[in-house]
Amino acid sequence: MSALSVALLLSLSLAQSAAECEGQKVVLIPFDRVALAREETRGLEEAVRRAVGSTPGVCLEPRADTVARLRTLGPGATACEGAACLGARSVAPGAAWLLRGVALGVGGSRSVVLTLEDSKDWEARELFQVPAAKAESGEAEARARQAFQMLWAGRPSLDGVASQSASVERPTRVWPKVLLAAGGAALAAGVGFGVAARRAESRLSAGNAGCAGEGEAFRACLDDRLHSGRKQATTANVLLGTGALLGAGGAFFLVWELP
Amino acid sequence: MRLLLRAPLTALWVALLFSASARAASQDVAYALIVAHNGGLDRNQAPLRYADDDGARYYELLAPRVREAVLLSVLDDETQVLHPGLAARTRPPTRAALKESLTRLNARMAEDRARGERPVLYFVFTGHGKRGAAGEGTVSLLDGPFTRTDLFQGVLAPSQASFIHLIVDACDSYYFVHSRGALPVGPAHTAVVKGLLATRELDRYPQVGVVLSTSTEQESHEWSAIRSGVFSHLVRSALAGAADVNADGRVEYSELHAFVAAASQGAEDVRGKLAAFVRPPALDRSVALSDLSTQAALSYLLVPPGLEGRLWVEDARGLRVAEFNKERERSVVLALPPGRGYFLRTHGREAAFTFAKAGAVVDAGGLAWHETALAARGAVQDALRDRLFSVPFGSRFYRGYVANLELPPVAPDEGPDLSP
Repeated sequence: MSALSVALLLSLSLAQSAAECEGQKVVLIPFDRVALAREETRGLEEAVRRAVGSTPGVCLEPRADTVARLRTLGPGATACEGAACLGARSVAPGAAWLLRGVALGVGGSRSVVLTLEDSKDWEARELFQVPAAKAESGEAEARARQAFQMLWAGRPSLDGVASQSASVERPTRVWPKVLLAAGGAALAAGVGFGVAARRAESRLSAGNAGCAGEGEAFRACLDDRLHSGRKQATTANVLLGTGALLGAGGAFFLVWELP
Repeated sequence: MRLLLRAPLTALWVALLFSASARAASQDVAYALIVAHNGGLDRNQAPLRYADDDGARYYELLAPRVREAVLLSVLDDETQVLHPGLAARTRPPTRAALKESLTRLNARMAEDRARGERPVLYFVFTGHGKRGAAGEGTVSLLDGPFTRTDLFQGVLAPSQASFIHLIVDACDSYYFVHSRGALPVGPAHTAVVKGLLATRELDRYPQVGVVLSTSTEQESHEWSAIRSGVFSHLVRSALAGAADVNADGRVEYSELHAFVAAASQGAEDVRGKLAAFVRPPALDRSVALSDLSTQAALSYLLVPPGLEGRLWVEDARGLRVAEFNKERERSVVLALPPGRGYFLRTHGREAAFTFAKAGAVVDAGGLAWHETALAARGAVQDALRDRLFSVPFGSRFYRGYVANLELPPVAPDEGPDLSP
C-alpha cells in the first residue's frame, strides 16, 4: 500500500467521522433514579437522548459507547466532578459537555433533573415534569427538549468567553431593525421629494419656471410644472408620514424586545 | 351487524373496568391516630414541654399522606401559635375520645376492606410513659393511665387495619408493648395471669409493626433547639424520606432502624443511650412505613449527589422538619408540605426555597446558597447539637448495621442502568 493510499484512507475515515459527528460532543450518563422503576427511568432517559440528539450543533455519544466505557471503569465511576469526568481517562474522554440526569417518581408524577457540566466546573441545572400517564408519550420528549434547550442556550462558549444566549435572541430582533431602516429610507426619500417640490414652487413664483414660448404652449408648460410640483409635495408628505410611522414602530419593537 | 361492531368496544370497556378494579384492590389507604400529651402519670413526673409539639408535627407529616388524620392533644400556647388553626381540629387525649376515634376509624377501614382496599393505620403516641410494678408499661392520657392491656384490647385487637404502624415516643415505651419481668403474683395465679398476658403478646398480631424509643424513665430527650423530642425528630426525618437508603422511594422498618442508629450513634454517651426498638409486621417484614411514590398533597426536595454532610430543613416558622447526614454519592428526596417557605441549612450556610404547588419538585443542587450569620442556638456544650447526625447515613452504614439485625434488608440500590 502506497503512502498516497494510506493518506487517502486516513482522510476518508476522518471525513466520515466528521460527517457522523458535526457539533460539540456531549456524553449523557445513564440516569440515577429515585422512587422509579428501572424501565421507566430508561424510558425517560431515552426521551432525553432523542431530544438532545436532535439539537443542532450537538454530537451525542451513542449510549452503547457510554455504557461500555462505564462498565470498564466500574462502579462509582460517575461520581466524579465535571472537570475530572471530562478528563482523558474518565467517563467522558474528549467530550465538551457532560449531561447527567436524576429521574424521580415521587407524588404520582415523573420528574427529571438535568445537569450540564463542562470541563471548567461550570454547571447548569434544569428540571422538567410529566404526569405519570404521559411519561411514555411524546410529551416527555417535548419537555426534555425544552429543558435541554435552556441548558444548551445558556452554556458558555468553549473558550469560556460569551454566552450563546445572544445568538438565540438575534432572529427576534431583525424585524425592529428592518422597520427602523425602512422608516429611515422613507423619511430620506420624503425629504428629497419635499426639497424638489419646494424648488419647483420657487421657480414658479420667481418667473417662467424654465418654460419658453407664448400663448397656449407656455400655459401648458406652466400647468405641467405646477402639476409635477404638487405631485412631488404629495409624495413627500406620504413618505414622511410613512417613514415616521415605520420609525416609531421599529423603535417600539426594539425597546419591547430588550432583555 | 351493529352488535358485532359493538362487541370489541364492550370488551374494551369490560377490560378497563377489570383493570381499574384490580388497581383498586391493591391500593393502600392510610389513617393516622396521634395521641400527644405533655402531662405526667403522677406528681413525680414533670410535664413534658414538646410532646404536644411532636403530636402537631406528626399530624403535619402524616395528614397529607392519609385519608383521615386524628390528633388527640391539648396544644399549649406556643404550639397553637406555631400551628394556627390546628387546635380547632384536635380533641382532648382522653380514653373516651380515643375510643370514639378508634371506633370511627375502624368503621371506615371496614368499608375500605369491603371495597377491596388495604387500610393501614398509623397509631402514634408521644408523651410520658412508665413501667409499673408488674412490669406493665403505661402511657399518660389526660384522664389517667393507658396500659399495655388497654393498648392490646382497645387498639390492636379490634382494629380493622391490614397493617398497623405503632410509633411510641415515651419513656419505657418498650414495656408499653412488651411484657417482661417477673410476675408479682403467687404460684396459684401465675397460669391465669400468663394466659391473660398471652393475649397481649405482640406475636399474636402479625399485622402490627412497632417503632419504640427505648429510653428509660429518668432520661429526657427533648431538645429545645428543635422544639421536639429527639426520637420523634429522627423518626419524622426518616419518614420524610431521609432514611430511603436504596432510593426506591419506600422507607422500610430496617431503613428507619439504621437511620435512627446512624443519627444517634455519636450521641450515645449524651444523656444516656438514645436508641430504638424496631420490629416490622411479621406478616410482611418489608412493608413500607412511608412511600414517596404515591400521590399525596406533598412537594419534594431533591438533595442530589454532590451535596453531603449534615443538612437540615427548617420551615418559615423556624421548625426543623427534617435532618440527616448524607453520603455524597446518594440522592435523598424529602416529602414536605407545600404552602410555606423553607430553608435548607448546613453549618454556616443556608438556601431558601419554596414549592410552587403540591407535587412540585425543587432541586437543591440549583439553590442559591448564602453564608448565614445565625449562630447555633443553645450553649456550646449542647452535645445533642454537636453529636446528633455526626455519622453519614448511606448504603455503607446500612449494610453494616442491618447485618447485625434480624430485619430483612432492602434490595440494594443498583445504580444507573448500564444495560446496552
